[in-house]
Amino acid sequence: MTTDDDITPTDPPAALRALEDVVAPDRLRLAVAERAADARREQRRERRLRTRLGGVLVVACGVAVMLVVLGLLAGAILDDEPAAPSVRAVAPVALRAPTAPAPAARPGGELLAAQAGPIAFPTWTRAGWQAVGARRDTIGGHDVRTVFYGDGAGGRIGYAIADARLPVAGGELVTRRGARLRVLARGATAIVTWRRAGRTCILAGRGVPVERLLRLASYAA
Amino acid sequence: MARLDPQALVTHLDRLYRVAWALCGSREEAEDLVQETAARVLAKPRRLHGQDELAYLVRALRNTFLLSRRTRSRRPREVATLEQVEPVERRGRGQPEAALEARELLAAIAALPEDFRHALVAVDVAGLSYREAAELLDTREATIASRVYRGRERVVAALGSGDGHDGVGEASAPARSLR
Repeated sequence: MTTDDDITPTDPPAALRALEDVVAPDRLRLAVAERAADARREQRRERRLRTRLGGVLVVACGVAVMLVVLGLLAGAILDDEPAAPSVRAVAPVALRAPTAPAPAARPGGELLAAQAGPIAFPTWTRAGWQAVGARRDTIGGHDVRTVFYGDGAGGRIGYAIADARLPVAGGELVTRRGARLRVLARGATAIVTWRRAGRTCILAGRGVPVERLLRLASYAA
Repeated sequence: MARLDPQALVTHLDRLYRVAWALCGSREEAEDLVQETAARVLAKPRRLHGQDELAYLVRALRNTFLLSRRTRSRRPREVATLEQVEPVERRGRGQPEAALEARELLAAIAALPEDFRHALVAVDVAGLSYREAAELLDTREATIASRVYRGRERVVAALGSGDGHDGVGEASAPARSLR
């Protein structure tokens, strides 16, 4: 008994070749040809429509991209606000020479008659410091007020307050008396910074141990 | 992915017509089947999915045939008489012997058991390869080869005996003879 897999392909018998001469009647040929022609026309119409739609989409995308670019350019042109200077860029102000006399102490002896926004400068008298001068600068469009202090033994520090939260990176984060402070430099020049009331405070000094700055900063922060 | 060119129906029309006739066993039904297939295929753009145009069209025609047969089985069947049947349209017109030969041949194929008929129609009438026929009928190439071989045997035997049946093996398909 043979199975389905036993037989290999062979040529058709001669009798089947008679089929090759059988052709579709003309009426069927005509009907199918008409249907095919209609379908081709419809396909061409749809293709044209898709092409047009694609063109419209390309133009729309182009316009959108142009608008975005123009918007960015306009933003860049109209934005006359300079980029905020970093704390490191402002800190040297606290090491410069004063340009104004030291502000007087307010009644009570704890605060000076000088302030930056809501923050009043301290006298730090009880910590052994005395206000010796002041200055006011504008750096990168920001108002920076500084009061300088001396310890009577040659040590001098500057306490600068900028009117914005200036960007700062690096340094060492430390906590003193619950205040979060950042030491940007220690050694011959020490710089400590912190933020308060939306402003940036910088305390800097030459030849002053950073721990002294940290202690003062913890009072002011 | 390639789309079916509507013109392919016209290009392969003769072959599709022969396939339809071999499946239906009647010229009138074959015409209807081809028309219906054309209408279904051309109703919307078709993708070939890597298939050959002819293989795609034969599949469409076979599917339409199976669908129409299922629908028809629910209705009373009309049997064509010899008087209703027009002569076979051939290129070599004026050869009644050849027309009769082709008609007998198609009737013999239509009378084959279904598996043999579909395999023989796919390979010998439609001209598909064994691989294409196997894909069309969802079976193995070896099975197609076997069915084609046996189908041919039966067709040759039927033509030789002149009664459309070989009288051996499995029962024939439901009578659709044109006689």
